[in-house]
Amino acid sequence: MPATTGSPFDKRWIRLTATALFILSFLGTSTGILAQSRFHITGKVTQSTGEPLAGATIVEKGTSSNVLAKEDGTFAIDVSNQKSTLVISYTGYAPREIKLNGQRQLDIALQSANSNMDEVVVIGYGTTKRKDLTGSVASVSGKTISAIPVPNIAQAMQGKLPGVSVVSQDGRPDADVEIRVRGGGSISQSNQPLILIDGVPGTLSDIPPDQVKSIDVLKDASSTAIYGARGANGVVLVTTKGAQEGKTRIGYNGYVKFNTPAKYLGELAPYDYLKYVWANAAANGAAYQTPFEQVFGLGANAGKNTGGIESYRGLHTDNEQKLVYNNSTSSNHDLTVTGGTDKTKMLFSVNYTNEQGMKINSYLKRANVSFKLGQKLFDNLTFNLDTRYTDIQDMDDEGTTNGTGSILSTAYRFRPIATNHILGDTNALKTGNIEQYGKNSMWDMYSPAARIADFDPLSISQAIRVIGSLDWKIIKGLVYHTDLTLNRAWGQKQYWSGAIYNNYVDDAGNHLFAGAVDYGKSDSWGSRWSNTLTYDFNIDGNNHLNLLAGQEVSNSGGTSMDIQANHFPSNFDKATAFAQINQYDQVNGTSQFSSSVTVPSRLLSYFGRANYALMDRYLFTATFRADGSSKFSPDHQWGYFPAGAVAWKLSEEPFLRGINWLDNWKLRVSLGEVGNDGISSNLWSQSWTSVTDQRFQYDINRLRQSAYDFSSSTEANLNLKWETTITRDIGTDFSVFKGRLSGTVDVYWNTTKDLLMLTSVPGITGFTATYANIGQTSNKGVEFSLSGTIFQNRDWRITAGGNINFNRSNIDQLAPNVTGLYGADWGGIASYPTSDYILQAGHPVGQVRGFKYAGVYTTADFDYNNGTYTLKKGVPDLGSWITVVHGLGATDRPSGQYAYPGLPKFKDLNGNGIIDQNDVSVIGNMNPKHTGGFSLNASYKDIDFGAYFNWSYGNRIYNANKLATLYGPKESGVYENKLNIMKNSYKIYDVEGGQLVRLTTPDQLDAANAHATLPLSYEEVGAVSTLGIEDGSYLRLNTLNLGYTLPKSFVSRAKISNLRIYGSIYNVFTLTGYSGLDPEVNTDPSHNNAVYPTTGLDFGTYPRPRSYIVGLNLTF
Amino acid sequence: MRRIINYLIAIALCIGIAQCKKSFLSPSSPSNVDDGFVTSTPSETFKTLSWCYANYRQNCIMGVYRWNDPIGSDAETYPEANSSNNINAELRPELLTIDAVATGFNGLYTTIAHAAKTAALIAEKQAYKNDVAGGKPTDWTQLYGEAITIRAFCYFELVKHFGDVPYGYENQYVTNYSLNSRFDIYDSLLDQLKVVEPLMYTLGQGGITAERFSRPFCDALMGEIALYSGGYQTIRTDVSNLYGKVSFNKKGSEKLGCVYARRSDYLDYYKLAETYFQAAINNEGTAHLVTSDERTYTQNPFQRHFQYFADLQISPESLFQLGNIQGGTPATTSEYAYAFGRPSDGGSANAAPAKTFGALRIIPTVYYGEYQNGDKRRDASVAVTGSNGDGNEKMLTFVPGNKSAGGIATNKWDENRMSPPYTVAQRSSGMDWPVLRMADVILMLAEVKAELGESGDAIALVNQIRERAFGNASHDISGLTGDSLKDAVLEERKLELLGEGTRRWDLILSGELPERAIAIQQEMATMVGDLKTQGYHTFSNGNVISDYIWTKSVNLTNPLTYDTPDSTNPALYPGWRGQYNYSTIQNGPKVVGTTHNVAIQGLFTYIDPNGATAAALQSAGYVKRNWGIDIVKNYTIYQANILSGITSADDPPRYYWPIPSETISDSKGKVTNGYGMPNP
Repeated sequence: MPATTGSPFDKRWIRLTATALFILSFLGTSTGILAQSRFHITGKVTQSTGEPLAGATIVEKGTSSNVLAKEDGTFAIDVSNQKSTLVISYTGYAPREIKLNGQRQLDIALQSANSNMDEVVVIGYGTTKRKDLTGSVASVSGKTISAIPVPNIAQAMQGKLPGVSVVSQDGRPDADVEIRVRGGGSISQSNQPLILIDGVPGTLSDIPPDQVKSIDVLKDASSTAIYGARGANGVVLVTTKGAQEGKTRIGYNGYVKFNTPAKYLGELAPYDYLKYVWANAAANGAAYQTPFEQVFGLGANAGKNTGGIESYRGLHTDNEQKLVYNNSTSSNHDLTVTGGTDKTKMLFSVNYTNEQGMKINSYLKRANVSFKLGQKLFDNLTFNLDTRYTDIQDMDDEGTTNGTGSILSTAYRFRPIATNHILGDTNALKTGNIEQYGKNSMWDMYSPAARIADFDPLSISQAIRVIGSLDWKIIKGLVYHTDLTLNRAWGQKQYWSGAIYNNYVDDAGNHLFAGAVDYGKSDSWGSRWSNTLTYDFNIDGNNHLNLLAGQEVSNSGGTSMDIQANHFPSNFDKATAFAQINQYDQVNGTSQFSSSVTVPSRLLSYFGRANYALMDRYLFTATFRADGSSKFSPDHQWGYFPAGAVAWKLSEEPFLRGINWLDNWKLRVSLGEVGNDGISSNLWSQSWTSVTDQRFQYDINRLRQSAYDFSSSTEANLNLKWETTITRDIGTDFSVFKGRLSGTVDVYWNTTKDLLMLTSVPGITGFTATYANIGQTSNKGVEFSLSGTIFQNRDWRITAGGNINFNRSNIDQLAPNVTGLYGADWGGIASYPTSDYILQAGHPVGQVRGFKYAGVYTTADFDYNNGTYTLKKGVPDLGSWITVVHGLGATDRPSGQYAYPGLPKFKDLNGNGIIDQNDVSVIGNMNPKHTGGFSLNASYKDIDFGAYFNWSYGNRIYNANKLATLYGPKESGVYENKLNIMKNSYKIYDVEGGQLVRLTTPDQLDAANAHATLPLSYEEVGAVSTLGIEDGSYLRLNTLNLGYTLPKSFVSRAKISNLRIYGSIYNVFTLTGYSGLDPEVNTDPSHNNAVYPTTGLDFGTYPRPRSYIVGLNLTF
Repeated sequence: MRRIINYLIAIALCIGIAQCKKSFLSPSSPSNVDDGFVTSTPSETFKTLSWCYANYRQNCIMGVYRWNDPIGSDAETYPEANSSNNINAELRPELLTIDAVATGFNGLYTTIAHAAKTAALIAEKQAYKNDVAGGKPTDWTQLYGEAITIRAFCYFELVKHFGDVPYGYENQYVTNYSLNSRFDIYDSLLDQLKVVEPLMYTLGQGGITAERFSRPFCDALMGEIALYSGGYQTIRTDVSNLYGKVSFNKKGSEKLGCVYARRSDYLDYYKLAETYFQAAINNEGTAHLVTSDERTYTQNPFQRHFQYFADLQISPESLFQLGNIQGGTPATTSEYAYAFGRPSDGGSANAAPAKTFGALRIIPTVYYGEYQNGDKRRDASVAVTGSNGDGNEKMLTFVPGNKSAGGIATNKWDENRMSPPYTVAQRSSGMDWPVLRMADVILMLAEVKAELGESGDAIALVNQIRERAFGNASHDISGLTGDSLKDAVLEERKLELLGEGTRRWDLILSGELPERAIAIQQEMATMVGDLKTQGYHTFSNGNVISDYIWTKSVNLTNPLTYDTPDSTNPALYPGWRGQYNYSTIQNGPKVVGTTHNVAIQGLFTYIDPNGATAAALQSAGYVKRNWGIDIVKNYTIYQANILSGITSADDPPRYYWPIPSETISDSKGKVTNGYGMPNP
């Protein structure tokens, strides 16, 4: 070991080790080459129906010796030892191992893999066979995952696992994916399950789908309790493909993907746009109206456009949305090389994904290299090395703005009439209030496409992870396993925004300054060491025991620094600005910088598990884990998590053995406790931190003064402890008709107590919130999954599978001082009520509050007298919250009255005559009644076909995007286009004889609004009402695959063992009644940093593409 | 091999045991620093107070209450129709939502919590104890006094705006709390300030400027606390035994669980106020009333004070002005000039000048009827024109709205008067927030002395202010006593401090708010009646407001104007308007045309729209514009905006804000909102 003072695991040491191992691996391979074969074995591989399985692989276990079955299923192989074991495998079938014991002739029938009872399932710190499971575990194979060409494997899990809800953020190339196992019990804390990649916490988006061998999701405490403090939200175990012994295999998978928009938002067409905005401008005043008329040649300012507004009738829409997002092409390449001997196995894999977003300037590029090595050091000692390097370049991030959304989602607000279609005086664009406020919606220079193109939010990250492990078979059945993981990651934020984006441009288009940069670097480190001892033994023929004891310690942290500067000289470009960040203009510009070191997150754990099988019929599991976490005060650091389960294999009972059609039938019952420590460190003690936000640095004599703030804005709570989830599960697994039909049913009831809630405290303490363990939630549900072979013969094989999940989440109890009110605040102060969500005991999380829409005020609601509309007695008035309504004069309504014909009317729930905060009620539940997925797979000879559906039923969507078009922001909002639903909104202006006319009398208003379905939208406050609550049910044909495997006889001439070409369509169609872009809504689950989840909010969404994929799988 | 494994196991065990050390699970980060570190030196300690001042600026003063103080009087009002922004100013708090000012309320307590924590840490330091024993102000005693003053100042603001509030619960986890009597809070604050005041630096001492709390500010604050304890105010009658032994003299009737009253022993508190206000003047250090004007192109020492703000400097007249900085990302709240300044229709960025909302409008009867001729404060205080945002002056209108609509506005803060104006973005000019100036203290002392019957002293103080306003002693007051003296002091405060958020409190403390509200409503009615029937209204000082005026765009060599010696020049009179010459700014905003100024005819005299003068003006290029007629047309809006919560001289004025829902609902019924305001 080098005599440096640093960590023993510094770079030099790693380099030395790697070199040594590399040399070792060559030695291992060469020994393999020297191995000899002597015994000749022949045989035939068939399906259970007797049909031959051409192409099945026959391997002598522990060697590289392998052959393929011929067309008639027969094979011949030379083995080294009469007592060798043959492993026979074929995709889609459960592999079998057969001990030769001197046999020279074998007939082997493979069972379809649908009979999954023999499938190996990964559980915490070990594996078991599905038939021996006592807990609730859902699994999906790597093959299914890689069939769906998405960059994030989580998306490919959607609809395939019972009890696991997968919702992707939206269509952005780097979309986050939210995974919920049985609903999730927490409110303030993360409900994301613990994701372990080969046993190490990681991120699903870092793993190329091609490298996944299997994904197992542990759902109940009997399986998750082994992960103690981190297991409450379920555990997703991703196993990547390992090194295989046998001759060297080279696999290549690649595809090209064409992405195309599935839908654009409907916006007002030119004529309707002019009519709407002209009236809106008039309502805001002549200073808005006149330049608008001049630009388009309308009304009194028609100029040379003698036809006025009529000249635009029928003009096609110049849709800015199509410039902002449109077709793109992505590609993906995977290359895997694997091979080895019984002593040394290795795998080398490279992946490159270039996922291009449909939005201009958005992409995700990921390169991934992994190397795995398995080396038998002695007969009883194996060393494994697993390294992965990931490099990601991500250009995407776009924030949302209150009241509007993202630039992308509001592209429809740009004028739908291109400059060359304007018939008036385009010089007027640079006058008056258009020049002041209308640039973003009227000027080409500031169009959404131009602004997006001028913003480069590039994030770059590199990560390396190394796992070294040893397995020592001490005596028969007793195995010691140790593994050490080291990881490091480096991130860079290189955000550049140019002159247009920052408004550094004069009216003539000259760039006064080049732009602004936000430049950050961060790094993180982590280490983990775990040790387990497993003892597996038979006490006697009827009593089998498997014991596990283990210890684990982990430690992680990081540092970051960030520099921001703006107003770079106009001759600078992006590269020079990043390279010379101190050259910003010091007169007009500002800069700030900060650095920080995170508080390390540490975990120290001890755990154990006992599995006891009685007569292979009665299975018992007991698990216990003790976790010490640095996130809590010394008095509350340790948590203890017990769990137990019982399973009864009914099909093994003598009284059921006689039933031929019953292959397997098992009943399971489990009960246990798990924890959730998903909070940041140091919430239990109050310390100080230096202030980086310059607004909170005082200024004396125009000089910023450094400042210290409390390091947390929440009041420290010494008593914080774990959030504990108790899970109860009863399940059954069955398989009938020789594996042709199998399924699982689970009923569960999870209770999360001591919720780690961000809770409000009275402001008189100097704090408004603290974290406390208060309240309780529960999830109850039923999951069904069923899969089977519908038809099978020599050429055909048709299978289907599906799952359906019913989950009812509920807040059982909230502390009395929690009002439960919180806001998505999508409109900032311009939306009402500001607390548009509520938590209530007896109801689930995700309830939206607002008014109940009751149509518009009609002229019949008022007494009309000399221009004034006075509400009739008994008709409720709008409250003062509605504030300013453009277009209404002082005498149009009596003083103190807010209602006017056309304004939205809401239900006056308390009947006091004023529609105000007391009439706000829950108007929508964002939780589905059930969700699920189903698939249909068929193969005919060498052609395979697959269709994957998923659905959600009974949930509501909070369509804030729609609500944001239903009110009338002032200034910059005046000239914006609206969604085309506004064609049918109430009018108080109309065009008569080419002139805009204010409608005042009841007759005029009634005549113009006979078909109005939506209210007048000239008020500055957007009401949250049932107008924005829509049914979010959908059924999506998520993926459609068609593949063709070229005949082996044909490709084998080119030394190719397998060649498949395929075409897929992703996001084929969606059946839904939802009016927004896509009913799968999850763009921002905590919008505007809401304290609790803003479930079901559709705002600022990046549309999902429909993708057409062509690809090939090739194996040498 | 076995040996190697044995070693490995041994090492493993060692590390495992070593890591079981308690410290392994209690990590820390150098980014988080402890109490000892942040109070290791005076300059480190000030950084904790730096946050307090900044938080006050960002989250407290910007709370809505600071906006409503200056628009809820008989001199100032709000420009928009049917807005929820001025419900409190209208004195109709029952219409407020319960959490309308939760940010401001909680922000003040957060500032209190930080300041209290800092004070507690300093108090434990041996260095501080030694300095106290030394009996002279040092950096440590100043910092301690500053922290205590910040805490007291925030509590004072809380009581002013919320009435009786929970007191002294900062930095505690509380489950049991209740309302404290405001009079007890005031007494407690005075007790604490008395201790720290002698050991604070005066202005100029120890490098302290008016952008920090100093000894004279602390003195003035004590004076204000005493005055607010002794003055009239609306107290609660719906909470039993809230005020303990304090007895009251009531005024008007009891309504909605409250009554207008002052404590019977009020004179004791006026005496205290007199002592402390006098101390503020005695301890002023480098601060002083600005009575001279070094500018060669104009002579207006009153305006000179406001010019310091536009020059981004500290005015020597300030006892405290809240520090700010220009630009910045994100920008600090230099909202004052935007909210209360001379209006501009400019866009939010790159405009000449950028948008100025102008939430504060001057009631026209005050502008027209109350200034005496020769009072240099009128034009420097009230703007009849604003900016168009493209380098051009624009006539304001009386049509309800904001920016150039909404009526005549304040002129004390005008981005045009910066050199150069900050045209990059709105709300970021960097002007300090004015909080307390010497003229205010002098006139508060005059008010207290008038109440205490020390007429001669009071008159002398008022005349100090008048001599500055008029530039000579010929407008001095004399011979007044009793109520007429008190009225004169109030009137002087009204004109001197117009638009600075004091008039409303003067009305409340004097006990005259309801009567004066009714009076201004009647004055407006009379004016509107005349405008309606005869097209103009004449005020007692001879000024006339008319339905119409005539204006014309003209070119001035220097488009920014000052006091004018020639009241007949329609482009220069009234003074203190025009525009900065934006074409001189390199890479500056767009400037349109060359005739940047507005010449006004008929602003103070009646011109018959059908007469020869009007015709002559129109042929000379003048355009007839709506003026008073827009008040007539929108009279209902003006009625609603001007103190509409007072309908009879008997009404208790309800000027408080609701305590936010969280503090009420967690109190288990011990804290409620009174005065007819909503409860959760």
